[in-house]
Amino acid sequence: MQTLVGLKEVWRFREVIKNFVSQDLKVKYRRSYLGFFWSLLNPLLQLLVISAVFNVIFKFQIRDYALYVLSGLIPWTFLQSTIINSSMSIVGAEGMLKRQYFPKLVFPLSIVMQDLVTFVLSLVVLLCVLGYFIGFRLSPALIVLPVSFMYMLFVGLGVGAVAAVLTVYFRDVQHLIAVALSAIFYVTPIIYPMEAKKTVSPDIQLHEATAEQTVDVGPIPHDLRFYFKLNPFYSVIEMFHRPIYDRSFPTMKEFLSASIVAFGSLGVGLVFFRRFENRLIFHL
Amino acid sequence: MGDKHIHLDDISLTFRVHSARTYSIKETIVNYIARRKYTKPVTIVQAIQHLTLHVPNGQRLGIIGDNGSGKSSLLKVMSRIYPPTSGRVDVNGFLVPLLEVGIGFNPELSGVENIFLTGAIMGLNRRVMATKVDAIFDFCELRDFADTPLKYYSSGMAQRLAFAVATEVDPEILLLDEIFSAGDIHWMERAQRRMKALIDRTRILVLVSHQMELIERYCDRAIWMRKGEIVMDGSPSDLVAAYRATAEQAPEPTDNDAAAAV
Repeated sequence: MQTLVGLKEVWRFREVIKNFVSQDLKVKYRRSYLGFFWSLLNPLLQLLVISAVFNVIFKFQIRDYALYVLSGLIPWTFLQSTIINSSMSIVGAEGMLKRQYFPKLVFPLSIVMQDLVTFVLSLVVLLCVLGYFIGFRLSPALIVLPVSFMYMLFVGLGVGAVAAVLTVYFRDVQHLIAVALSAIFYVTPIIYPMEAKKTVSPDIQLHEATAEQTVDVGPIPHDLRFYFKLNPFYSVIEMFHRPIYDRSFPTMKEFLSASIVAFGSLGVGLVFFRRFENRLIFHL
Repeated sequence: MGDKHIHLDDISLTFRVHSARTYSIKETIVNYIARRKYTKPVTIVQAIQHLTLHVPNGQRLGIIGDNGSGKSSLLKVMSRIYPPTSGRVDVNGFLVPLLEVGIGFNPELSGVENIFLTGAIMGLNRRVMATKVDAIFDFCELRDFADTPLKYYSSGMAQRLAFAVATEVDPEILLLDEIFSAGDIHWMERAQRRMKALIDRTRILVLVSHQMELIERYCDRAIWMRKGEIVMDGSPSDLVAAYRATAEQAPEPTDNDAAAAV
């Protein structure tokens, strides 16, 4: 209830959020010749590097792999950037907070919105430009995507809000978060698949020699997979892999675990934030 | 709408002033394991103590007192920047705290963009601010630099713009921490006139100042604060006289100065 009152207050400050978002975009792209196109080029260039590495070194089939990587990499980039930027958002607003009242949630929320713009632009590239070359086809499963977006935003805001509060108390948190996120990146199936069943995606051949015999050639040992699946980021990323790459709806189990992760992190994040919100000013 | 007021009921504000404001995680964990509470000295400062104050519509309130007596903290409680440790704050009316000019200015953005940003922070949307842009540039005479990023402004220019924006709004409740105006004589004179107009426009004024003549000129009620409490409440001329009398006797001990720094 308390938290809902807080959200109403944030809504009254929507003009501030709008201004923060537009000023961020203006500053970010000012004086760069390609401007907004950097948002589109960034994931493409990142993909090029990853693809090159995995094609040459690990001998992945590239066409299918590019679609797979991008469909996971774009939401991941959003989450990573949002969480890192949110963690500094309140500490960075010290000057403003000492001279004017704000509902503090305005700051992590503005970060989420800023990164959402970049995310949407990147996704447009994925679906249109790459789709044309890779042979991406529209499928009814894509109607899941709005839910995927929502869940991604919930996780970004929930974790970001907690990170923002923690950084006020412990400035070391910003460094920890960066390290933790890069570790999580590697244990989350983004640049490699969780499963590589021949029947599901015959293009992915991890080991050419064994591909014919094995049913599942995913790089993660079977007995470890259970633990990999506990990773909350995994269930959110799967909400993108399924409709974009597999062209299928997420299973009920996947959908439920993603829902729990999304609503859980949003709920915990907001309640935690609300609890500490009023004390932050004394620690800046 | 109608009844603008500030009601503070039994407000207390306590700061814990740590010698360093933040802890490292390592320290906290070590402290936790060693079952130590704090290794760094913590000073508890009672910035405001059980203060009750009602400012009705139309009142011009002046606050006087020595450094560290809790004047600025009180303004910050009124403007909700500091949530009180206990007590109730009830403010009705569009409140503008001018505790320092130039909040939220972004050096990368142009003058116009900064006007919109500051407006939003003060609670005014783009449409309302758009009607004020002309008047703001007229006053600070920086129209030629409207589209120049703020970082290319001289510090005097930036101050002029900040002042012009801050004083262009129409507050119902205006909180002022010292009346600021710096610059050349020509500017000072205009700035003071503009500040006077702003003070005349607002329904309620709360002014903190060490300049007694300002309190006497602008206010119709004054309070005198010492160590977070109101020691005297009455007409500005009486209070100023009483305050001046103590100042001439002996300078107050300033052990409470820490509160001013917070």
